[in-house]
Amino acid sequence: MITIEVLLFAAAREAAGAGSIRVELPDDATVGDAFAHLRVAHPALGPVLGASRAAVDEEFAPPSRSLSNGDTMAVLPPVSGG
Amino acid sequence: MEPFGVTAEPLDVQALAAFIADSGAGAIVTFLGVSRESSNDANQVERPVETLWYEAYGPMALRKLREIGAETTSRFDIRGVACWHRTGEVAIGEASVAIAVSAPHRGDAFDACRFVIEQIKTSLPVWKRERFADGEEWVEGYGGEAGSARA
Repeated sequence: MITIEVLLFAAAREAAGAGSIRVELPDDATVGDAFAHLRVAHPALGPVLGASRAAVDEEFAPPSRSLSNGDTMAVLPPVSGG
Repeated sequence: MEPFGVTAEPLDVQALAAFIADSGAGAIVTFLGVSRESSNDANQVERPVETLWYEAYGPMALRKLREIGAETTSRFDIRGVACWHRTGEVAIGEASVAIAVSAPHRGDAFDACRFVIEQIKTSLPVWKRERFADGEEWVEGYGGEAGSARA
């Protein structure tokens, strides 16, 4: 198993009631697997996860991106800066 | 000063313009994104906004601003580019984002400044929350090309 830190922002942070969560995943887990895990562990996150992008180590990451122990994955709802 | 940053303090576009001033520049274009006093709801009905509040993924936002700056420098004939985004509460009429670009010619300066703000709108990890008299909500934002980077 690997442990990753999940950072949650804006609507995702509010839905989860926390700005960060530690998540345990199988060794070969991907970003997509982490999102699937979050949907089950935190059902309130479901709607916002469907619209969100992920970032790993501060870079946008596709669902296929594999995760390693100690990674930081951020859940980024649709951005609205500017 | 640093050319790129995220701050809870008011933005100073004059300082940005001074920072990117260059003896080879014939034009400096600056842009301020400013908090507007009204917003359209889901039914396109206008309603008054009391204040705006911005949340950022700070370290990634700084990294993205630097990337946008590098991309802008490679795409346009410019001498300098600087951009800061604000976080926390931003009163109506105050700037949430400030951009300054210097270039030998005005066309490149305008085009590059426009490019920077469009990149910010689509890829900077920053979220805007509008506060109304009767509540508040996150502003519907940009999620990227359908399916491209979504998990």
